Amino acid sequence: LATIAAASVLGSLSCSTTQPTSAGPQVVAVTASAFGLVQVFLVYEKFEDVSQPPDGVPDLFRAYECVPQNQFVSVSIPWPYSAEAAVIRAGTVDEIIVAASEPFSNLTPYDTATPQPVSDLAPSPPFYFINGVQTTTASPFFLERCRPGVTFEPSNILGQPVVFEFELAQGDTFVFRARKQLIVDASPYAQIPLSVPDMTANFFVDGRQVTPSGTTSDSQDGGGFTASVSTR
Amino acid sequence: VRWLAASKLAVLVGLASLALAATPIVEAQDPEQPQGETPEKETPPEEAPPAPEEAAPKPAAPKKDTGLGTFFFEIDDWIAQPSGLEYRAATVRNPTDPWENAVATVEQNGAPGWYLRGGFGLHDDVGDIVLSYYRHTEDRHLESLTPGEFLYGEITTAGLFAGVNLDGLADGFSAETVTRIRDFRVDFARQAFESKGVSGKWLVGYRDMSHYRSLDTAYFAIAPNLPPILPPAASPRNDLIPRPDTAQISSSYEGRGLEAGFDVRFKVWRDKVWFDTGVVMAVLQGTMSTAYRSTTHFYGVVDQSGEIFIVPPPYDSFNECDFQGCFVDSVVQIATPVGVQDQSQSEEGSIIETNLALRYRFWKTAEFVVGYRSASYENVGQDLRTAEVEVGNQLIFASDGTLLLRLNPVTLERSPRSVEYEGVYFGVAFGF
Repeated sequence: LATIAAASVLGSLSCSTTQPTSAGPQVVAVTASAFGLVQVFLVYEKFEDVSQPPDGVPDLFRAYECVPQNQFVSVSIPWPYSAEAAVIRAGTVDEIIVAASEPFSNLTPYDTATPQPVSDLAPSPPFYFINGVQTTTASPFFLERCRPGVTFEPSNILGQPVVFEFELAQGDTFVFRARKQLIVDASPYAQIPLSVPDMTANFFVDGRQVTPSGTTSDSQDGGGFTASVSTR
Repeated sequence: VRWLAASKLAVLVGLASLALAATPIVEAQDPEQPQGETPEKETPPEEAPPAPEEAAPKPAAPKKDTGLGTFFFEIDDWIAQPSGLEYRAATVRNPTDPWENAVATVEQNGAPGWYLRGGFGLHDDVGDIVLSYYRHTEDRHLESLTPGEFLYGEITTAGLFAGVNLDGLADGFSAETVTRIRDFRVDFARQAFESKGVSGKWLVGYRDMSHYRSLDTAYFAIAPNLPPILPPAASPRNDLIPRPDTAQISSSYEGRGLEAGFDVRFKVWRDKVWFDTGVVMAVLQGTMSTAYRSTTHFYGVVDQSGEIFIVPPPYDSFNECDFQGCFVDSVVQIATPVGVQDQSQSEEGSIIETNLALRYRFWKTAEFVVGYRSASYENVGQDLRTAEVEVGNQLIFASDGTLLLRLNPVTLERSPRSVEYEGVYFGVAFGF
């Protein structure tokens, strides 16, 4: 009987094996951005010739002169959105929320393109419009100079500056969902785009961009998306 | 029979008691002439002056008539692997070829189980009374999870509203199978012929068996990537997390009937090693009980009059918000259960059991046995399914607050199931 028992144990052992996992942790990163149609502005420094009599030389800075152009471009715009990140651990079916923001406390990046110099505006003595640049209404440069009194929050995603990162084990699934603020609910920002913000997310695993399951963009007002990526 | 079927332990204790009771009788017998000898295992071959010059029928050796005969029992560890169960849990979608979807089947492994035999040989070579008992339970689990990749077809559900996207697909599934068999037989065996080195026995008897099989499956939408339920939608909405679609298919069979068979024994080496082979066939009459349950889900909206509207995928409408709120705020997840049970149908089954064994007498009346056995149980299971269902019109609140919309079975389909146990066995046999 002892022989039988031993052989039975051996038989049982031979029927079950466990394959070890070999891959180490992987870092998934997600960025979000929103694009919209915004107006182009020329921004000048407005100086005054205070010499008596006027000598044609700008003396004192008075204000910024923001001159709208009949030109519209699609650029990255700062737009508030809600976001949530979750993980589904390998071999499980339950979602664990790993990061969630207060409603619309995330902000997509501004138009960070460097303003391009333009020629000075024709003077209107005693005022002179010099050091002009071309920019957009989504640019911090424009907002700081042409929208005084409005506070602009820094861009962030789930509390991190521009990229949200999370470490995954092999077989884990990372789920990211985001929802834009309605135009009607958005404060001064809503005046910036002339079109519904088109929001997009990009996913990276260990630095390589990947195509997740689900959708990664939405062009509806107040819309959102959910996407997931699994590590293998 | 019922007492014996209670447990292996009971059988062992019973056989041990018989052996103890037989001890004085054995002492009174001629050790060289054991009375009665079962075909394959059993008796002390060494005591049975086996085959020496057994060309002619066994001579009527002088025997002491004790009123009983020789007792024997054998205990085998049969590493049997059930097969042919057809536990099909899901299909696996081939993304490039719609004609080449695979089937995910819950495979069974070999698991050891005791096969017990015992009995006694009637005096004057009238024959042997042999009792056999076998019980085997196999629990298996199969799971495959691919979050976000909807590859698995929900083939065991009722079909309607299957899959979070109502396309019958899931991104993960889990299947549990339970297979149980209990087989008891009592036979009368008698020698048919005996020549030099070869002897044969026929047997007839009664067989009583039961078989249970079940397949429980759950299909998940682990990463359904639904439109986000975030502000301004009222969140969280845990009730909208897709619930798994589930299905349970089970059947239980109790059958009994008569059997007949034949065993042949070949002497291989001196009086130490024998080769046994045998076949037994049984015809059973019994009762089959089957059950089927399926639950699928869909997203819907219920208006004030109670009318139900299905929200079709893709669920972009979840995203539609205005200053009063979002459409998703009025969406609910509705379960659609359906089930059917069919009790005590009369069904005929059959069994064919064969075995090959090598026996080695290592001590007086004790043998070591190694062999291969196959037992095929035909039509001892059944899968019952709803083939066609209709949607009910009454919404019910379950005790947990879940909204239920019953599906009504319209037509059923039945699939007969069989099972075959096969594998090697090894054990010991003793005679008294």
